[in-house]
Amino acid sequence: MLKVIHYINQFFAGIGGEDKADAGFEVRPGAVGPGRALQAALDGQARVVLTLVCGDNTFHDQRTDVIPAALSAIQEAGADLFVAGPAFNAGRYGLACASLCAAVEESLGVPAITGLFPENPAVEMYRDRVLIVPTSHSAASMKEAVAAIARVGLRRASGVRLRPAAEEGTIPMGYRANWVEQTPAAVRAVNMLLAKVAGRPYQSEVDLPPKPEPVPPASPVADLSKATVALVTEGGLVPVDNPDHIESSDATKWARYPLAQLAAGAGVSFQSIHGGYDARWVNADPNRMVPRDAAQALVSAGVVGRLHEYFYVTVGTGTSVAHAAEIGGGIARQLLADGVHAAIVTST
Amino acid sequence: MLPFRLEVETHRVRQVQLGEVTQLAGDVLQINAAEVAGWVLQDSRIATARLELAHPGEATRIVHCLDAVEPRAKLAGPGSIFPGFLGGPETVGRGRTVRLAGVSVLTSSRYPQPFSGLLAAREALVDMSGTTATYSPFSQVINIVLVLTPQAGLDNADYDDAVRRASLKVAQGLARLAIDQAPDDVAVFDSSEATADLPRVAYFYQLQGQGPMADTFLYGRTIDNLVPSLIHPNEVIDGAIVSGVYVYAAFKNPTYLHQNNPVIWELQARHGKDLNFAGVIINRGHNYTQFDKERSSHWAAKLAGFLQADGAILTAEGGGNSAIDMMLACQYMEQMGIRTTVMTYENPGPDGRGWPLFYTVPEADAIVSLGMAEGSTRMPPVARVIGDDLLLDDQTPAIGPFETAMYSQYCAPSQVGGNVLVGRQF
Repeated sequence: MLKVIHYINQFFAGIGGEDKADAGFEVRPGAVGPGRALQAALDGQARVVLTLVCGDNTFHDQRTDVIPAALSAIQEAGADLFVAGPAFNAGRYGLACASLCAAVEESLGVPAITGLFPENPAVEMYRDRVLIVPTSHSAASMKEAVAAIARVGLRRASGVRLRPAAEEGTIPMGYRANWVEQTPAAVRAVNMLLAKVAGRPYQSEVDLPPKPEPVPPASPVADLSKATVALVTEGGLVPVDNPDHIESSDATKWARYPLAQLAAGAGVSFQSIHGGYDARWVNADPNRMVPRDAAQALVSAGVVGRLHEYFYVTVGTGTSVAHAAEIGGGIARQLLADGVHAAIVTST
Repeated sequence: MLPFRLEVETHRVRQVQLGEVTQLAGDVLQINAAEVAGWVLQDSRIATARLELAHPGEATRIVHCLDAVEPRAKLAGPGSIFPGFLGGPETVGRGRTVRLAGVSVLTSSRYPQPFSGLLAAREALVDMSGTTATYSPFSQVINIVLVLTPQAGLDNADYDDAVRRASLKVAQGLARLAIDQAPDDVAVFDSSEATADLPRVAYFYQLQGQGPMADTFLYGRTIDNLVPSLIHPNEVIDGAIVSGVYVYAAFKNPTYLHQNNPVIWELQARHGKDLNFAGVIINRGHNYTQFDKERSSHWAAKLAGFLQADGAILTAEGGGNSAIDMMLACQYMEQMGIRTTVMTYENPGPDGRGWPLFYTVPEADAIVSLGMAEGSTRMPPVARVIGDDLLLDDQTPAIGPFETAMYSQYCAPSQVGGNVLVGRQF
């Protein structure tokens, strides 16, 4: 039988209300207070072996002591599932439940779950890290809340993959993943279109999150003839053995190589490992991707002060926004650290 | 719309076996492997041809997958199946066509010369059982795999043409075995009559056309510089569109999924019931410049207007570049008052928390998700591999286990909706 450890505050442990919020952390055997309803909802598949209790103020004032104490109790008992609350719309209690769940999952790898009113501030703070079932705002719905926690918690503890949040009845953790849908996409598309044409309600299957923030352009270079200019490309031009193992699609890395190596006769061969364009002409002459020759001519003519000694490269195809932002930020920080004033970015 | 009436005979195949006689007996297709290999070897550009079978549920993996084709042949009506390849460019889509359902002719091969950049045939995998069989619609059909090798000295373009003609020829030859046999069913595709008061729905059908290894063929020719055009859905069913796209296995539409395009079949099935199928607009994706994308998408939207469409369903093929062409068409159609539904795969990053689309327009407010091919996946050990002992990297034993990019899964988020994956919020 699966072992469950349950966390509740001083109020639900029967110690008292706000006046007892400084009650200390304690470990009690078996189920206590709402833990009895939880035990019933677990329906013989799991047993509440321990109940952890802490006053709401004590938890927050002494969290650096309370959380490790809770973790060692959970670890010693060999818990299969950790349940906190439900805390409904209680502020401090909700934060205690969510932060304990995060610590248990992340430090011990033990499945954890809590129940919170969707507008409880702890939801926004922890929803991306903690499995939360939505509850009403008050303990009047304790029975339903505990039933939902038990249902989802048992599935989570059994190791089955949870269903999408809408079907599982959880607060979305904010990530998208594949799921199997037996109604063909074409059928869904025709149904959606006919609803849209007729003015009936329909639900798009991709709810777009807020768009990535626009990037404000840097201020103009005051005097290009005194500026250091770097050449940057997403065109995948790397030494033939691709020493930094930049991926040919959805790259996670960038690298820089001495610009002088691109000169004819430098003894280093470059090729594009980019997976999104026909690289034959770039391979025949790398200046077509990283225009060292043209940039050098501008330096000779006095238009540009000097060229930065490295060129910077990544692959820009099939790249997720998160990876692109990391790569772009990494290159920009390096350019700033090296005192570069401007960059020419060639794309494919 | 011109009167186009096509009867499609379906013969369901539930078992394929190797034997003495190449024949269809009820739902059992028997193949004399040497005889069918002989059809292929008539083309001197192919050095060797081996035929292997992969049934759903077997612990079998197929590697180096190229095109997949459903066996089909013409019984009556003008033109040839796969016009432009197995016959002249005469207009098809009328008369009677026979198909073997439940089987695919799948080519597997390496190309003779090294590739550069995008225009490379990349690894393409189909597993026939286990959780990795969720990724490909071809895990659900019986695959008749043609494992081919080129004659010495051939270049990639010439060999590519030979491989394509080999699979089309075998597909036609096998379908002809059903001639004069009783079909399981006959579907009539005739969308010439419109029913008053039903909404008119057009299909915007974007095809990949980027160069060798990333080309789609229309009546035997690549679609470079295609101006968006009208095509009758029955022409597509008769093989007017043939795939030559091998760049990313997950994001391609093989010939099989053109022949069986789920959007076309669904619109045909509902024609006269709750919609009028107004027509199909083909568009080349991956136009090179923003100007060319705008020009092409405006033209496609205009054709939807000519069709008097009330709504349109849009699909694409390939990666982020092509999403721009499709989304612009969506925008221009909406601006003309034509409502749209866009079918697209998602790209939210390996952790699923990123922006899920490559490109979008505010008008794209009705989106059907085709799932995603993010990150990597572990391919388990299997009992048997068809195609090769090593993956295209020349290092990894194809028998597994190995870790590989999700984009190597054949049609994982099938862009015409041929698969069961959907992206969902967790």
